[in-house]
Amino acid sequence: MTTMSPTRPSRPGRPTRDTKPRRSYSAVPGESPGSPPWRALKSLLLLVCVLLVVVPFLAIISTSIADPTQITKAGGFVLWPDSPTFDSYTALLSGGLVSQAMMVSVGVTVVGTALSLVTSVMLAYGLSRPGSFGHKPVLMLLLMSLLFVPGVIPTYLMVKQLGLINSYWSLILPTMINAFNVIVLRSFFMNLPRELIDAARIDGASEWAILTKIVIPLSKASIGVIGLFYAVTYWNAFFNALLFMNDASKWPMQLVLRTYVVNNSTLSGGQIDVAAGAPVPPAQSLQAAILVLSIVPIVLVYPFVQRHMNKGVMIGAVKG
Amino acid sequence: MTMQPPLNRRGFLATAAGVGAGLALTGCGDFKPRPAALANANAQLPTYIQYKGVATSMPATQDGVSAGHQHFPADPPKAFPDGPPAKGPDINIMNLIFNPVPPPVEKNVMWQALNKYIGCDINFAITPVNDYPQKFAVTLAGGDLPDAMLMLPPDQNSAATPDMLHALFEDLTPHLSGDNIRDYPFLANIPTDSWRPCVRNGGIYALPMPRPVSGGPLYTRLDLFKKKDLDPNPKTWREFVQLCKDITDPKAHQYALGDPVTTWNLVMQMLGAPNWWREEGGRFTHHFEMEECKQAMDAVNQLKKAGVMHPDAFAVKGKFKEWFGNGQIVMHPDAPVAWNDFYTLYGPVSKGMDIGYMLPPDWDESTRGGQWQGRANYATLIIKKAPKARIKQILRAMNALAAPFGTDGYLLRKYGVQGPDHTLKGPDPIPTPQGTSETYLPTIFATDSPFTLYYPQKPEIVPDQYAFQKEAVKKLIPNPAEALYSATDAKMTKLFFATLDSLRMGIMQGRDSPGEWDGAIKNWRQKAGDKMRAEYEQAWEARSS
Repeated sequence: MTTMSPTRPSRPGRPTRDTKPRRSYSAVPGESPGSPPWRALKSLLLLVCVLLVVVPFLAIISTSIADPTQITKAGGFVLWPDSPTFDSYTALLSGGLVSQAMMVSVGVTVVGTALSLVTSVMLAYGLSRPGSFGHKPVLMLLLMSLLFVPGVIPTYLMVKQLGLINSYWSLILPTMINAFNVIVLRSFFMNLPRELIDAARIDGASEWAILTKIVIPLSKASIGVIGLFYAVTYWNAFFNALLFMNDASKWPMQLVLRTYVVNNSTLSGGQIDVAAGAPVPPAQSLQAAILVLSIVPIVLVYPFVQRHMNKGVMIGAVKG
Repeated sequence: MTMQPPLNRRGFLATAAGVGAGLALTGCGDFKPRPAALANANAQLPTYIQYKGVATSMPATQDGVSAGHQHFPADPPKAFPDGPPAKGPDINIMNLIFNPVPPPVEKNVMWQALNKYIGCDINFAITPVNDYPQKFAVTLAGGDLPDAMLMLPPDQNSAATPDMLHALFEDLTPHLSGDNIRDYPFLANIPTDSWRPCVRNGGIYALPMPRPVSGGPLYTRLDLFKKKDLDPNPKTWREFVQLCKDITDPKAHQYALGDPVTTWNLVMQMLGAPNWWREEGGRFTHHFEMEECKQAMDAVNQLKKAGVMHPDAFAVKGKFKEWFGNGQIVMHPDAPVAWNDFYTLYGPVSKGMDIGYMLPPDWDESTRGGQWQGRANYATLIIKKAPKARIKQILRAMNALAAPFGTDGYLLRKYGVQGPDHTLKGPDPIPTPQGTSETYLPTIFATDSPFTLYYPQKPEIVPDQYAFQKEAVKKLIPNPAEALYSATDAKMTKLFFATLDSLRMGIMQGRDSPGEWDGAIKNWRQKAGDKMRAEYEQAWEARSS
């Protein structure tokens, strides 16, 4: 934030040299901006911090479009491509698997987030009304789920018995309600002014009307942030797909990403005879390209939710 | 009438604990794993009947050399002249993949052709390799088994127990033992060594996924050695160290070696140390317990101090192939199939790349080096219990997936369909980009034909590959425990190996004192090693009787 520094009064009979207010670079009004070396040092520190964040992104994007020879010479990562090529993106998107996986991830994220928000908001609202039916046992049940997490095998058995193996619903239903998110929302709802809700009730509003016309509009920031939490969770999830999806064409992006990046897949690991293989884009280039593809949707969505983040992330910290 | 007191918190907790314990005990029951002798009882192995349909000047040999071919037959013999061999319902196979996942069947010309060729739809439920043990365990627990599943060796997959095999999977002995395998001639062409690990509980419970027993060479970048006018054929450890020093050129960012673990393996082989376990008169000793282990750690530490190892050797994993490919290291031990990989992946960008091989030199005049024998299988394929006719259909399908080099079945499996998947250069198939991605279909992780030396893009390297195998099999050191089962090894090895491996790396790097090794091994012996040894000794006795 910039502040206006007070201007000196001009002496009579002497021409005014500079009446323009000088700009101060101090962050705090009234505080000295510091000596030039100190400011330079601070700038340098900030620059280093920015580079620490930006350089990996730049390296990933550059490597994804770099020429194979340059990648090999650089030993893996390229900071600036000499002759950019989109071979890796072509290789990834032409087979159909990555684009299909992207569609699956987008679908699961959108549907999952919507369902999670609807169910979480309704549950949190019910739990925030002290006199609601079964309020305490349901709350206890919810809290218990934070302490005792079902293991992999019980979860698998449950999904199998519901007939959801190889179904997209298996990627949504087991993680649809997150107890932590519900409790955060409940805390927020409990701190809404009670008078508003009482007034609505006196005016004859039903619980549904109170929730949709008063509580939700007042809680947009917290619901937005919880929605982002859910969306990122669905987007990043791979383990449920690994367990429940036998058909690789139904895999979400993150599981495909895992086969390329974590398993270092384009290299055979000494177990596969790639005698048959035609030259493919280098592993690093493919890995970088798929990383770029996987972060693009979140990067696109984040600016729209960011304005809610500042308010929303404080919810759990100061209330509850 | 007296009022019953309500359940208080303490009562609730006590009841819950009791119910929980009861459930846990019911779940565990009084299960005891099958004794080692019973789990490792012997069975009659399939008769080996070599396929001789395609002639070559580099034939496979009894002692484990793989056949080599410089060219594909111009007119490939038909594997199944009478038509598709396994007509019937779909076969579902759960297995793993190292490569990116291939396109789904509706977009995969090769997969569609393969289904037509076999006579039924083969559905692969594919899992990335690192996650496979977990998926395997969960699928078993779920009870809804596919028709066939890849089973990793027990030391990589603790769920692969003989009891589980007995309860859920088919004993294939009546179909495959002795001359019964004649019904499946391409499975009969798989060498006997690969069938041994398929035996459990006195029966054949699995199909092999054969790999060459020669193990892999120490690959050398001959082009870079030639530039420095050096001869990469040291006879002893001393000459090897000198060669490493001569070839290292830090200014050019060129070093002799990269991976510390495979370098340790190499030194162990120079010392003639056991390939995991040594068996003498029925008594087993693990190589971690031997003096050679400490000697090899010290030797790697000397190499590091001499500056001949890549500066990031101890800090980086999974980059060693790339370093070798781009010339940052000039020697790299790897699996036999890596030979072709290097040319495919790095040949186009490392101009003049010329790869040679080295066998472990002797340690000195009195201590002769050996070559650790490779695992005869990557893994095995187990088949769910089913009526006899269904088992026969699955075996006929697997027989088709083992069609050997030179046949039309092999060509389809490895190179896809001519046109979309490969073009012909003379008689040799050269893959197209579409073919490369379609042939990632993991048929080799169901079963496969014996390993064949063949590289259509650079046929002149095949005689060198064959020469390596011929030399290697003369000095093989087998692992006597490879085909045996030890419940303790299956359960404990991963746990202990993480600790021991970390300490080994520390000692080689100079971070940890060599003196700590004895304490770690003593602890290993007490908690797992001695029990493993006893189980392997019982297993050895049972298998030998």
